[in-house]
Amino acid sequence: MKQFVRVVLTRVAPPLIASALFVGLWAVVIQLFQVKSFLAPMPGDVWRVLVRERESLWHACWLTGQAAVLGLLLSVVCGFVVAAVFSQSKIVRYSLYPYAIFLQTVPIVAIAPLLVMWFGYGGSGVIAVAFILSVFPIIANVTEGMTSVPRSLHELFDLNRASRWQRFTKLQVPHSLPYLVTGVRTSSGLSVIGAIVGEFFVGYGGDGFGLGYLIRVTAERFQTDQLFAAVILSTLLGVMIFAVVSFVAEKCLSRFRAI
Amino acid sequence: MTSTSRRIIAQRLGVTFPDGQTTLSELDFRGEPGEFVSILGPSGCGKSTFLRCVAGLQEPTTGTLLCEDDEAAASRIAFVFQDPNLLPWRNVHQNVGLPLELERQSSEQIAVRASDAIQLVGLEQNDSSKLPHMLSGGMRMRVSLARALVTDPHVLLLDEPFAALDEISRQMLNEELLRLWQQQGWTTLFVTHNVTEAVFLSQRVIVMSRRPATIIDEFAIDFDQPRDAELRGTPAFAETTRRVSAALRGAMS
Repeated sequence: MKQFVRVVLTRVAPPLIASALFVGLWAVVIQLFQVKSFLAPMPGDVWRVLVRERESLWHACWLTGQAAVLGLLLSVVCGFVVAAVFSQSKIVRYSLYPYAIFLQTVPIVAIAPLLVMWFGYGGSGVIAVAFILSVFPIIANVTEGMTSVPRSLHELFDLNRASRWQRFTKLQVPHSLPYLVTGVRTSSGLSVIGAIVGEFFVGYGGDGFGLGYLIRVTAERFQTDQLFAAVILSTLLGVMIFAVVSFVAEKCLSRFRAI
Repeated sequence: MTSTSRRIIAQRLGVTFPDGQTTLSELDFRGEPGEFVSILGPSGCGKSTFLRCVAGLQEPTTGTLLCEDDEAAASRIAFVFQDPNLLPWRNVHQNVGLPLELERQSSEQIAVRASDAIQLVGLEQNDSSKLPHMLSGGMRMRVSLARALVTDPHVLLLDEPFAALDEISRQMLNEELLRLWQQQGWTTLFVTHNVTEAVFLSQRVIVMSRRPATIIDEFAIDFDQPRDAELRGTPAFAETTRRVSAALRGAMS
């Protein structure tokens, strides 16, 4: 209990106070300089939008979150498989790794319309963008984890005449798990960004719209209060996915932390 | 656990690394079945390389190496590394059982034999579920030793296993190792920097030259078995240690 109070006081309270101060300062500045509301809304206006539009905003969050999480899951699965293949052959790794970097550097905004054409309107296009943006950190980290096993541990497996499969499953995979966690943490934020960028170009048809669509449309219409509400929710969504990933990782992998 | 120990015969053994560095040259060595031999020599002279050749971790460039009994049956060789080299995500029991797991033994077999090995090296059964980072350096080394012994090896190779331990842990593990050797009778090669340790443990101490290494001196150590901690305090022990140290100094200069 004491521990809980201390955590609240030292870790939870300070950022909350900081954000309260920031919001207060924001309101004061807007009042003071008479900033037009289409340039920057008052905090109260944003709050009112959040309350008034809660149902459609919630639905948008839900759709964006879904696309981000599915894209992230796809990244974990595909990134892990690619890293596993990379870890087994230097030639394959050296031949294909530069093209994995391509995924990191490709201007996603430029190719998103292309992806829409390929995957069609609706969720799969958005998931594809979220996937492309979030897969590289997983490939990179897991490959690093699988190929950075200390030589002495490999020799232990040599001594016991381990098969390639045994070496992979009992040495390289467990050694790479903390690296996977690092990768997924980085990717969790990217998957949300990917989903939002995807939604700029693709809607969900009759199912409604995501936060990305909302951001684009409200920006075009100078509905700044709604725009701010959507941006805040996008950020919270990213933070939430990051927190869930970190929590799960902490629970599952505590024994790997000693590495 | 019963072992029929094997002899180790190295003839004109040489190792040259790809960078042209010749580490061993013309090394002749014979280890008799069940013999405990320590190897001393200047740092980086190739003691470990020799041990790695015997273990099969290093291919000799020249010469031959045999590790067999009279019927020339293959040997089970176990190797204890300088570091405990434990898998940090596996607990003690799982670490010790690893070699059996890699041999695809049944899980019942692994459970029984790993428990036996853990007991053999003086660890408590309730340490079995601990992770390596929860153990002291000495305990980790014991786990490493248990992992080597779990396969019931014919030949045991140890590469400066206790170098990183404090003096008392080292002495205790030396005594433990000697007790186990008497019980199990492996043919044992022990690489070390520590003359006292070498003299205390071995039946024979060999001294290697600087690189490219070859054997330049050899001492039979004929103190009675079983040896105990008292032995280290006797004048005869001090005299032997002095002679071996002098030879080692000669090798270094």
